[in-house]
Amino acid sequence: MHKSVRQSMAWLHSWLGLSFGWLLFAIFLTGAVTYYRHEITMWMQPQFASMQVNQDTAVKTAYQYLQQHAADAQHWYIGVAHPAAPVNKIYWQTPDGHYEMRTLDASTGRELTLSATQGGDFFYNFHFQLYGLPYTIGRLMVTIAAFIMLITLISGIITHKKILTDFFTLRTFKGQRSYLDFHNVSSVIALPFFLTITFTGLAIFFYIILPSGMKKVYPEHPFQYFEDIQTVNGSAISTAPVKSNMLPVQHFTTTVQQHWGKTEFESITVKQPNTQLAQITFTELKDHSITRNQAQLTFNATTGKLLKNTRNDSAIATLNAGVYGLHMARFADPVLRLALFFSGLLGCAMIASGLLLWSLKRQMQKKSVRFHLGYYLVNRLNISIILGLPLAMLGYLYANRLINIPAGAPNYEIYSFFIIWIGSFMLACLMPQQHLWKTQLKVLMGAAFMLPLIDMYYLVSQHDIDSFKSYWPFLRIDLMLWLLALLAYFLHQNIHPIQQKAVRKIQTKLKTVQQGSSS
Amino acid sequence: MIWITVTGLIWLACFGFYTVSEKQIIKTRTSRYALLSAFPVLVKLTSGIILCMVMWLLSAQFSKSISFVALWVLLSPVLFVFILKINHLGKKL
Repeated sequence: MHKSVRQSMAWLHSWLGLSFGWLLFAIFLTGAVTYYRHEITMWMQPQFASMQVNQDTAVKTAYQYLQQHAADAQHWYIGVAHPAAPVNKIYWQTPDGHYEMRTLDASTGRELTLSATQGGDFFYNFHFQLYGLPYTIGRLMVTIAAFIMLITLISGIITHKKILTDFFTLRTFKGQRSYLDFHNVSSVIALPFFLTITFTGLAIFFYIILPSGMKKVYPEHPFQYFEDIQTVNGSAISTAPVKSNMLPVQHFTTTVQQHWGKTEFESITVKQPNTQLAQITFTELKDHSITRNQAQLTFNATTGKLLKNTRNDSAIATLNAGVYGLHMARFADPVLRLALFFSGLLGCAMIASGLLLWSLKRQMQKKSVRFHLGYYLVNRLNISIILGLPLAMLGYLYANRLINIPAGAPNYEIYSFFIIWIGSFMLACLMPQQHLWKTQLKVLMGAAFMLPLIDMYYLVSQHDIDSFKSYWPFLRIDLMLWLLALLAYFLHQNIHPIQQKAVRKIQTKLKTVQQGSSS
Repeated sequence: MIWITVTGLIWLACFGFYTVSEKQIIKTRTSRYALLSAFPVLVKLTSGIILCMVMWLLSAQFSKSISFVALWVLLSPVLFVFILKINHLGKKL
């Protein structure tokens, strides 16, 4: 039987969407949360919130630390403390090629022994390399998922024949029709965001799916590409590095401020420190375009001479930076970031409504009440992803407040995340169909409502807050949690559990069929 | 302030497109916005110009590239709330 293009696309859309929907939901939700990863990290490390940042002091103390502890290193990197991340993060490459990393107090330059929490970085890493899997496998899976997402979006556009006519249509509380409308509306209104984020996500990992080009140009060190795409090699210097004293860092910060005015730094790097070849580069924190081209200034660190710009400004490098810039949106100010976060959540809503629609449609088409393993599994996986993942994320935050993890200890927060996620799936498997949604929604609502209260108690008891200003970094996350609790309440009260609805319709249908055959 | 203005203008543009949309224009003819339904092309054009104005306003705050991205990003939440509002979600609760 020949199918039309639209029918074929609908088939492709629904089956690809189902196969990868759960993974894509997890990637979208953790990605949306990643827009606030620094804020989550601060929430999870309350001692950060009270730290005052003076970048001049932060730069000076980090520079001094590196001079004392890594004077003979090949390379220094200072992630300069700023209000969103008020500690200095430093890395250096030892003469034998290994990397060392430290977190320093920005005011005193003391090494900080922080708890083993990963904060918001856990969601960030999960988003693009799926925590727990080897990096290559995780990234490959995410890349394949992005590719599938792109196909699903395009096939969805072809399938949805009335994009403009039905642009504003959302028939609420009308069963299957409402799910389809909601799926369409959530997809169409943020379509530019979905296409951009999916394509850029795919393009970032181009070297995983199309490695041959990089291998051909860089047969021995493929990852040299990443160095070349960012910086232009100056004239090759053949002289061997000779020990030489570098100028004090204040000399450079003063010169940089003469060029840029009063500004904040994102990072400072020093190549071949304490030699006559030492180059120090300052990068500005604020990003003025989508191509991650924050202002940069490079000096010879021993003579203080301003060197020419080493940034690679070629078209392909700008395109590469644009791909990263658009995906990570580091240019976004708070309001824009909130809108991006909302668009990410809309992506989750689109995927969730698509998954639920698939499930509902199949149950409506089913003509018997016989157990069907496929439908059973889809229903259970739906709930353990759509509600189980947010529950697991809450569990991660709960663990932070309830368990103290010393540095170097196993990260029980991450264990809690996965235990709760698996628990949600097991609960869904054991629960009868009619109680599936309401039970987990109740747990989600209760957990999201209680956490801010526990947080407040914790902060007061630990003397981490003494004013509204010091409470605000925590309150903004707590307010989001209360919004999540409200959303769970809304779903619990106003949307009839989808499974119950489907069961009722099937029962009515079966009764009609039975009556028809008996008469 | 700029955000309130931008949100308001996007809302206005959405309203313009909505009143003369294929499905809605028949209802618009009998509503107090009947005048708009007499000039659908002009309404669409005005709504488009309003969106351009939004971009111009955003470019006063950000660079041109960011303001273009910002327009599309900000459209989503405003459109979503707009669609919930015009479909009377509140009344059915």
